[in-house]
This record gives sequence, C-alpha cells and structure tokens, in this order.
Amino acid sequence: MSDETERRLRSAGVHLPGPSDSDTIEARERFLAAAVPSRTPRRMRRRSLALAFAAALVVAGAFGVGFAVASGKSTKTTTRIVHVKAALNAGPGFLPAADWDTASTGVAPVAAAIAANVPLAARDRQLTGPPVKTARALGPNGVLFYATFMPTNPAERLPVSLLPLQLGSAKGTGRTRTVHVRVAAYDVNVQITFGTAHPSASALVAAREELGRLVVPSCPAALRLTAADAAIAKAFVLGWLPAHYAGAPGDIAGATATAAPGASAPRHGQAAVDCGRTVADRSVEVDVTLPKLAKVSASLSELTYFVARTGSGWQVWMRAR
Amino acid sequence: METDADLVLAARRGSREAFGRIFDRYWPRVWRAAYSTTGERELANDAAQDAFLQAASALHRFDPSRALEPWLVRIAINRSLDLVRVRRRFVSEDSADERFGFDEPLPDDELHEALTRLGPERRAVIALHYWLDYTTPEIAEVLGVPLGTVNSRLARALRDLRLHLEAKRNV
Repeated sequence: MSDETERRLRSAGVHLPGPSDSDTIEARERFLAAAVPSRTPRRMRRRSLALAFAAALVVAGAFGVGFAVASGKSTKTTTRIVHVKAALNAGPGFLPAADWDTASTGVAPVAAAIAANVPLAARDRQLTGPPVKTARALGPNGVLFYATFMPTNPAERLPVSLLPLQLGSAKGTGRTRTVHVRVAAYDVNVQITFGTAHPSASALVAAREELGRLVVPSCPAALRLTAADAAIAKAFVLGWLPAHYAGAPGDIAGATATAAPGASAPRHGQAAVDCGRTVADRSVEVDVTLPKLAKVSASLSELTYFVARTGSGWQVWMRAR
Repeated sequence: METDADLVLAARRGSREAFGRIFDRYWPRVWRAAYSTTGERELANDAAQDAFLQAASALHRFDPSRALEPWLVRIAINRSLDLVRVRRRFVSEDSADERFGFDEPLPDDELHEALTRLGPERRAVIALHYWLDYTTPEIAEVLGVPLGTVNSRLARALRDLRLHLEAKRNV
C-alpha cells in the first residue's frame, strides 16, 4: 500500500540526476579499453615496448633536457639526466621534468604520450590505451595527462593553437578536462585528469606547467631540392647523428646511410600525411644503418630521418619508425 | 533488440560493439544506483566505473542466462558502500551529526533532508525499490542479503523518513 511518503519518494526519483556526458564518455572509453585489449601477441608487445622505449630515448635526448625515469618502488618520481642534446623535432611528447613520469610512442601514425606526477602503471606505460590504472591511483594532488596526436583531419574543424597549450582553454570541469586543438600537422587531444573533482591550486599550477612541456613537431619551411641535395642530406645526417643519438655512443660507430629525395622516399607517404605533400616532396629520407646493433635487433639498428633544407640550413624534422 | 545473453556471448568473442552496447544500455542506471547510495557525483563515477571495469574482466565467468543489470548494480553498490566507508574515516569520530547529502538537492526539500539522515545501506534499498523499480526479492539478490533483511531495512528506512517528515510538518 502506497502512502504519502512513498509517493514523495517515487516523485523524487524522477528528479534524480544522471551521469554527465563527459563522465560517460570517459567511463565508456575506459571500459572499452579494459574490455577489448590489444590483440598484439605478447612477443610483439615486448618488441613494441622496446621500440617505444628506444623512441622515447631518442625523443628525450632530442628535446634537449634528458630522459626521466621513474622508480617503481618509490612513490616519488625522480629524473635522471642521461643526455643533453640540441633540439630536434623528433616526435610529440612531454619534456622530462623533475617529479614527472612520462612515456611516449614517439613518431607513429597515431602517436600518444602520457605524463603523471605519480609513477605510471607499467601497463599504462605501454600506451596501448588510456592510462586507466594510473588514473585510479591518483592521490588528491595527482595529475595525469593523456595526449594523442593524429595527423590533421581537414573534415574536422578544430581551433588552431600555438604552443604552449593553455590549461585555461581546457573544456570540462571536475576531474577531467580536455584540450582538443590543431597544432602544426597534428590534431592534438589532451585529457587532463586530476585526483579530485576540486583540484588544489598547487595541482592546477603543476598541471599548467606540465601542459607547457607538451611539444609537438612543427613542419619545416622546406626549400626546393636540387640534384645534389640527396648526397648533402646524407652527409648532414651522418654528421649530425653523433651529437643527437640517444643510445650508447659506440653504437653508431661505422654507421652507413642511404638517401632518397622527395617522392622516391620509401616513407614519402608518411611524411606527406604528417606535414603535407609539399614538405614531403621537398624532404630527403635518410636511412641509417648501425652495424654494431644489427646482431642485437634489426629494428634498433635502422634509423630513418626526414630532413629538409630551410632558410636557416638543414633540419631533421622527423624520425620515422 | 539483443538480449543480455546475445551481448555477453558476442562480447566474449571480442566484439567491441557488444561491449559498447552493454555500456550504453546499463551505464545510466548503474550510475544512478551508485549516486543514490553515495550522494556524490565523484564517488558515483568511481563506483560505476569500477563496476564496469570489474565486469569487463569477469565477463567470461558470467552466466549468460542471468540478467546483466543486477550484477552490475550489485558491484556498483558494494563499491559505493566501500567508498562511503572510506569517506567516513575522514569524518571526525565525535561528529554526531553525520549526514549523507546529495550533490544536487532534490526538489522536495523536506524529503531531501530526511534522506540525508539515512545511512547509505538503507538509502541503497530505498533507491533500488523506489527509484530503480526493483522488487524486494530482486534487491535481496542484488545486495546478496536475505529477503528478510531487505524488508527490515526498507521498513526501518520508511519509518525514519515518515518520522522526520511528520516532525517537520508539526514544526
């Protein structure tokens, strides 16, 4: 038998709120990522991880500030400077910084990068999907970034932005904010997840600073190639490599290279997707072979760079995979 | 429309679409069950997400002849109660006036006030019965408690609500 209280209860149920759109989207993405894992065989995953790690080393070294490593046992992330190199637009990602743990796929068809002020979960470090485990482990002052970098899609109208990206332009409130903009040749989507719905001022400042460390390769203002440029580009890369290779210096002893200009480059299509056909046509693909690593790993022994001649000289603008 | 069994079997075969449909079909109600229990959007998000993540990892063990929603709601409410218990630890032990409000107040002020005085366990029973239309045997199955316990919790919750509302009326 229903009485007044029960009637009021039923009536109140009509006004019960539902989940927000952003929370629903985030939860759905996480559910699908957990439910349908990558079908990549374990051996391939390890290889991909090794490649990502190698790429991260290159990226970190190239960004000029070193490479961050996190201790899995400590709750505090530490940064160790491994290499200090000159700048290179080798791939999108977060610059290493003290107390931030970062990972990146480097240059890839769909590149991704994550950064957190807590240690990244080992599974999330593989970048096979959103960093769900790390997100769940965030403390009250925790901040987590998950950025994806897609080649620009002309059909999608995105605001064009310059770096550094601004936290103030992020959409959403509560735990998760999103920055979705076009930067150079990439459509960049950055999800910023806080440990709480009401992040502290220090967490917001930390997030703003880390967002400022997000780097996206820019496309070069490439000049037309001449007949001699393939050979010049090859020599340039071999001369440039010792100062920029992030692995052991001995690895590059005896390095050899081949060069393919413009449309003859094996990865011309990738370059065109990333920076447009004009830049691809005006670039030289230089494939470097490191004989000392050939016995260890075929993939690690082969490096591919795209270089272009600009008004300020030759520029390595992409490391392909 | 596919049955739960169809979706579960398709999901087990790795169908991303099936997983998506499971989510779309049950997320709003699972979230509301969590929100009704915790009263906080943030905790409800965590609890409901946990329910789906646990379901994703345990779907291969799920009996496809059973309904999905009670299973998901059960996980979400148990997780909600855990989260509320954790939250309670941060409330001063000598705080006699412990209440569990809602982030978004109900239009019925008096009822809202009365509901904040119910513990989360009783509020979960109220929510399942009056807001999500579960029968008492279904609630017993969802919460994993005897039917008598459900009836008792429901009766006591209603009694407390009536007492509060009558007191308000007599003020």
